[in-house]
Amino acid sequence: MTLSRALFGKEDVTTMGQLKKKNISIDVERCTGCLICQLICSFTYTGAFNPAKARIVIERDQKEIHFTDECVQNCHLCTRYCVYSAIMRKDETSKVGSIASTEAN
Amino acid sequence: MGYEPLNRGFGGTILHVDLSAGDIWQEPLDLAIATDFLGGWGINQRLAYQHLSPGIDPLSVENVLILGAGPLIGTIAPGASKFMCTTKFPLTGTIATASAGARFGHHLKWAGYDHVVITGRAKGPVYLSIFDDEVEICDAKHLWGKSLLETTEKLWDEHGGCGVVSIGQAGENLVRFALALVDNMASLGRGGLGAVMGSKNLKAMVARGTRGVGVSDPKRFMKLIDSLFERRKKWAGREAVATLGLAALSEVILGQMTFTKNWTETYPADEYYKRSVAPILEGKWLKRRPLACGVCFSADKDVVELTEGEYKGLVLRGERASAGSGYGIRFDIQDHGEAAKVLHTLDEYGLCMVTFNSLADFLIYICEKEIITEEEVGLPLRRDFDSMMNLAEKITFREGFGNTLADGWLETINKIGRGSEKYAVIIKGLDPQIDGRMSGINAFEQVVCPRGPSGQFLAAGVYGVASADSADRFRQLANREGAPEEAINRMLDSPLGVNTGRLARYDEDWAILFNCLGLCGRGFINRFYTPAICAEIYSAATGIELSPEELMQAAERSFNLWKALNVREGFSRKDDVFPDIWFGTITDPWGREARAMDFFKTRPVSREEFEALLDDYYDERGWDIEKGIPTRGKLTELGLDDVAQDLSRRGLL
Repeated sequence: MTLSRALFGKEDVTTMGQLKKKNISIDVERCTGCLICQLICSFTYTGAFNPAKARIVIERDQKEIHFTDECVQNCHLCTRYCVYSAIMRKDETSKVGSIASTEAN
Repeated sequence: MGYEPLNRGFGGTILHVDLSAGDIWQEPLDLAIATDFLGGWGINQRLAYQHLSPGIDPLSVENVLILGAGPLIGTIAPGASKFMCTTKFPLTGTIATASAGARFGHHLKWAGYDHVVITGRAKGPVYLSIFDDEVEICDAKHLWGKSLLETTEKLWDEHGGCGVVSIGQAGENLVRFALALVDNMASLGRGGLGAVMGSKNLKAMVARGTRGVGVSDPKRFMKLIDSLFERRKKWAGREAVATLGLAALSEVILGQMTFTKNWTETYPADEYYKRSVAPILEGKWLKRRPLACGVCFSADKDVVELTEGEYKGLVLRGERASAGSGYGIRFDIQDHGEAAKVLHTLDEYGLCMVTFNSLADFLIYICEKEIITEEEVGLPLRRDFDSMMNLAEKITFREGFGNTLADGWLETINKIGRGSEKYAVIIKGLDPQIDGRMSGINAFEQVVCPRGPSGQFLAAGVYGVASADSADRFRQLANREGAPEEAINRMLDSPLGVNTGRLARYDEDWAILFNCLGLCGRGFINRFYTPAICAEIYSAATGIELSPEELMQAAERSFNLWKALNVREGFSRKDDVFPDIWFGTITDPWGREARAMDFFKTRPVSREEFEALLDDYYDERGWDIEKGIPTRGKLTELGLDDVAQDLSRRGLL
């Protein structure tokens, strides 16, 4: 078993991506682990709902959120579907518990 | 080897695991069956009819575990997270289907499987691992004897991110109300699923899928999804759920579920609020973070960490923030930390909190009434921390009188005798979660539910239709559940305001529909769906075009098949029994005298009126009223001819 599989459960993770994106802010305390971001990402870019192929990675117990090398730099699709305000487009504001508006997109 | 997803919601494969022989093989899922049974729960009943022989001992090698994850699970349909586990349950002897969210079912689907049929018994402790097409029965000697929570953590350490179903020592020791937890956050299998796993030496199941799930018409599918997300933005209740989780339903829970002192009292409302909601809002003694099942946009679970006291640092997952406080009230445990510690211990042992609480409450009560003494059962039976911890341990390890208690209600009542059975509030050997005096005729379905009183079917009654405060509003909500106009007219044409015997049929079919698709039936998800939306999403995902009426008929068909499974086990009208205590009175949390009322709470109902609902329920289902079971005609109408023949052959029709 490779180290990457042991740690992240993926055989061939393209990178130990610790990428942060310039246009997305992360509030990891708000992440509930719903994985909806991973689903919209993988569906859009690979045609199937598949967190293993998502370009956003949620660590065990929602301790960390980061993006892989494959993540398209200007894309913020995941933020449009996060209802918990854990990931948000940097030019948006949010109240506790509400969804950031995506009208501007 | 190349893998092509089916792109139809379904994975297309049933996995078979024979623990006795150590054999594993795949069977293609015939999608023709989906037109009749939709998927998930519905197909599970079909598999159960095929693989489960009637009359077996639930803890014997002959019992079968059937997992099922509906076609929407693994997609982005909000709330598509509940996978199913069908088996014969040790506490009740009924065939039923447990359900839970977290992320195990999703991984099954991402790995390409719709169902897993587990038979036999392993020679030594094992766990099942499902990683795409690598399916193995793994040695679990290093896990056996460990707590449930530790087992899951160890499996995560070893395998990385994956869905995990584990049992604790209670399941290993075949305690009849042992359950499993999924991802240490979601309960699976009230009534002894944990013991069934234990009886197979199956300590855990882990799954991870990297193959993905596709849908038949992506554009149509996402249009429906986006509409659901849009509507969620406008949902007035979203902030309350985000902050409080299940405690957002405190008024409802308080008004229906907070019986204590063995059903003779209720929690005082202000005490409940002080212990259950205030600490979350004030950030006192606990820190709460919302936790979601996979693909849920109304997370109502939480991770709670105690921030002070002797148990500072203790972490609980699930619906714990409010459960701990209620627990404390019921058993007079003043210290929040101690109340949380007992709950945590139940999770470690893998004991059903609901049955444990009810059984403990019953024991303490009959001890207070001097029907039994602490000396003769060898257990302290006080409303306090030490008694609860001791009871949990003795039951889990089957020590002394704990050995009798571990076998559940019927064994315990038989052993004690002395008329104790009249104090045990149970239906089909299982303790109900709502009270007929406070819920009134809305509690009816608990009496007829084939598994025994079920938490799954509370969703409609507690959160949905029962909230209607006018005939018009009722019509609207019942319509949303798939009840046809003429049925609604029948229901409203009643001196009870609404005939809840007739309503129960539609509540049940609606809940079953959710179980077939894989959607969570709780109000926070349920409220966004209608039969029309379900039909559209199902069709867009699977490519199987079904109208809302056909969808509801498939749910009805699946329900009748489930009932037939239990008719085969000998269940009938004689088992649909009301708890006597429901016909009395109780002081409600607001100090008022409560008794069973009609639907719109205009007047009390008599015992006769309440019990007469049985005839109406069977009639609305098209069943034999005397026997309380499906007729040959009804089964044939639904295309279940083979089932009708089977029951006939057994002299049951």
